[in-house]
Formats: sequence, C-alpha cells, structure tokens
Amino acid sequence: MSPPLAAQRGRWPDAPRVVPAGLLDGWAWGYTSGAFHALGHRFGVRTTDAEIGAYLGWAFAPLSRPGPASAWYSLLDCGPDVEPYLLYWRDRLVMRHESPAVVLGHLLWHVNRQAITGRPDLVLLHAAAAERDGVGVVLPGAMEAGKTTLVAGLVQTGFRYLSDEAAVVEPQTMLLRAYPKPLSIDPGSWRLFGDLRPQVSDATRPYLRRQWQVPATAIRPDAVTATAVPRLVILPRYVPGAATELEPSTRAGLLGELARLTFAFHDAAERNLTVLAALLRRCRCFRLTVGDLAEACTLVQRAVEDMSPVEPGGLARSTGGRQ
Amino acid sequence: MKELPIHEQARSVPQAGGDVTVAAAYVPRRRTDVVELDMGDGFILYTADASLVHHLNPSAAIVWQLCDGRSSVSELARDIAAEYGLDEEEIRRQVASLVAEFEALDLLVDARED
Repeated sequence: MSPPLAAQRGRWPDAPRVVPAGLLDGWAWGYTSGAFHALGHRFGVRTTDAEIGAYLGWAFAPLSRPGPASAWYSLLDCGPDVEPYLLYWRDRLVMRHESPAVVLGHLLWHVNRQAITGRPDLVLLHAAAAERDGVGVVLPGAMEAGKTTLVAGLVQTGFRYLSDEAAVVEPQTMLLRAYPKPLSIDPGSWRLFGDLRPQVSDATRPYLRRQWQVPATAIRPDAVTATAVPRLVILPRYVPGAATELEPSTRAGLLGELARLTFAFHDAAERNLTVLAALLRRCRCFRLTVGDLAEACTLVQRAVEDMSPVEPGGLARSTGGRQ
Repeated sequence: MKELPIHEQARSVPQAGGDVTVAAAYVPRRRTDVVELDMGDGFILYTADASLVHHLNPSAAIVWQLCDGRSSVSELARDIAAEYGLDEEEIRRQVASLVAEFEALDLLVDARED
C-alpha cells in the first residue's frame, strides 16, 4: 500500500490516528535506522528529514543492536500544514504538533516510558548512574535535581556512564545495569557543555530547541559501561549560588526518598523496598548540594577514592566517616 | 511516577484533650503484615495497605521491637527503665504515648483483644 498522494507531496492534514498496516512501510523515508534496545523496548527510527534521522541514529547509538528493527517510530514532516510534525509509534499517531521540538521530545519520552514500564523484573530508580574504579554511583533525584548535568560532568572527568534517567537494579545480583540513553541536556546547562552542541544545520536546529540529546560516547568513545557494583548513593540537588557540599546521610534516612523515586514502586512495593534496603546497605550514602559543577564532580571523585576495596561477598569495609 | 504518600518519623499525633496515649495495661503486639527493615543506622517500617514508610528513631525502634504481645505497657516501661537506669514513671508515659502513635498508624494492636 502506498502513502496518500498528498502526503507524499508533503501535506497530510487528515493523517489518521491509526494507519493501515504497511502504509508507513511504503513511505519514502529520508533516514531509516537499525535496531535499538532500551532495556526491554526494541525499536527503530525512521524520518522524512534525513538530517534529524541521522542525528537520532547518532544519539541512540549506545542502544544499538545487530539486525533490523521490527517496530518503528516514524517521524514525519508534512509541512506546511498547521501541525506538520507527526510521530507514529507502530501504526498509531502518538503526537502531532506545530513544533518539531515538541514532537521530538515526545519521541524521547515515549522511548523512556516504554523502556521503564517494560521491565517489571527490575527495580528502576529515577536516578543517574555512573562508575569509576569499580565503584558504582547512584544519583537519585526528581526532575530538575541536576542529575543529567552532574553525570555528564562526571563522564567528562573520566567516569563511565550507565544512565541519566534510570538506575537499573537487578534484584537477583544487586548489580547496576546500564540504560545508556542519550543525555538529555536542558538549555540551562548548555553553557557548561559547549563542545557537545549538536552539529546540525539551521533547518534541523528547531528540533533541538528544548533539549540536546547527546550520547555519552560523544564525550568519550569508551564512556559507556554495561554494569557496575553499587557502592555510593548520592542525592544531588542543584541550588544556584549555593556552596557545593557533600554531607553523609543515614541509610534509613534515604530509604523513604528512594521509594518515592522508584518507578512503579507500588506495583511490587515489598519487593522494591527490600531491594532498595539491600542497595543502601551496600552503599555509603550522601546528600550533595551542587552550586558549582566542577566542585561537585571533585567531591564525588573523592567519595569514590575513599571507598575501600570490596571484600569477598561484596560488602564494603568502612574506612571511616561513619554515618 | 506515583509518589509514595508519606515518609515520616514516628511522632505524636495530637488529639483533643492532650497527648494521645494508651492504658498501662495495654499489651502491644506488632501487626504481622508490617514489613520491618533494620538499616543498621535506623529502623524502617512499611505498611502495604497504607503505602507508608516509617523511619523510627533509635528509642522508638527499641520499643517497637519489644511489642511482642506478651508484655503490657507498664511491664515494658518497667523493664526499659531498669535496663537503662531511667525513671519508670517517665518511661511509662513515653512508652504509652509511642504505643498510641503506633496504634494510630495501624502498626500494632492490643493483644488483649485477640
């Protein structure tokens, strides 16, 4: 089945909410990706605009897997309609808007949601995560806590990247698993990462008006790690102009906060609470007030350096700084 | 993401007429469906039906762990006071108040009613 003639000419005002099977497969796509895996969510991306397609392929590269994709996000620019930007997931229209940035943002949100809700066997914290010298660092925080900025800064200083959105705890092993989605850098942090500015044409830049999507591999080719042993839990909080401080916290004092920051906590509350408690018992815990990114990264690095080698059985031996 | 409703310390729930309390003969027994987690640096209770996480301070944790349905409030207070060399009457008042808080939060029951 071929797309409607009007749509092929760039106008599709009556784009259906559900397209007939195969319709989008016959589109003249400017870009078609391979397969990506975001935790259990498998997808590909195809776009009418070749440049934004290539950009997404680059941003999602750490999620790439061999072989073709079998389910698609289809991003169409059907200008000059009133709402020319369309996003389909499989055969369903999930977003139509006049702003390409809104539609692109929805694509990223949809990927995240599908990834996070698709793995009830895992415990997923709303957290960034990184690793250095065998020390996994979990950085839980609500929106605007500064997780992405902090983890991007850490990667720049040599940490390896697991995620900026979801710290994935595998209950059977208590290991951190990577969800190396693109770093979603907000405009407020663009000045800190000028060398990560997307290299796109002016025609494509409107897609990136709300956020930059940057793969950790753009910071360093070997930046992504698959797993880490959690040893530190550090709750960041960005406070403009504040003194940057790292303060020890009790494990019991953080458990309730981590429960609030666990995706779908109530779906398996007792299991999740038990896993969070086990995670905290393995870790030294801190609260980090971030006024300056470089200082915050230095403090996190020192906390890593203060960790003793892991004893057999996986329990850390305390070297001081009792909480 | 659904937010866990409350994370709170065990504390007094004021009621009309003064501090909440229970009778000295009250025999507190922990509910078996309360999840207990000893974090090493604090004690956590979780009730699934209320979706509440309670962070107990060390004193509250001691009292909680003694609520086994075999001793009355006055007996618990006597034992605690003797163990720590404290004033029994003051400890009885504090234990009664704490047990009342636990009951108000649906964490324990009076074993005399079993």
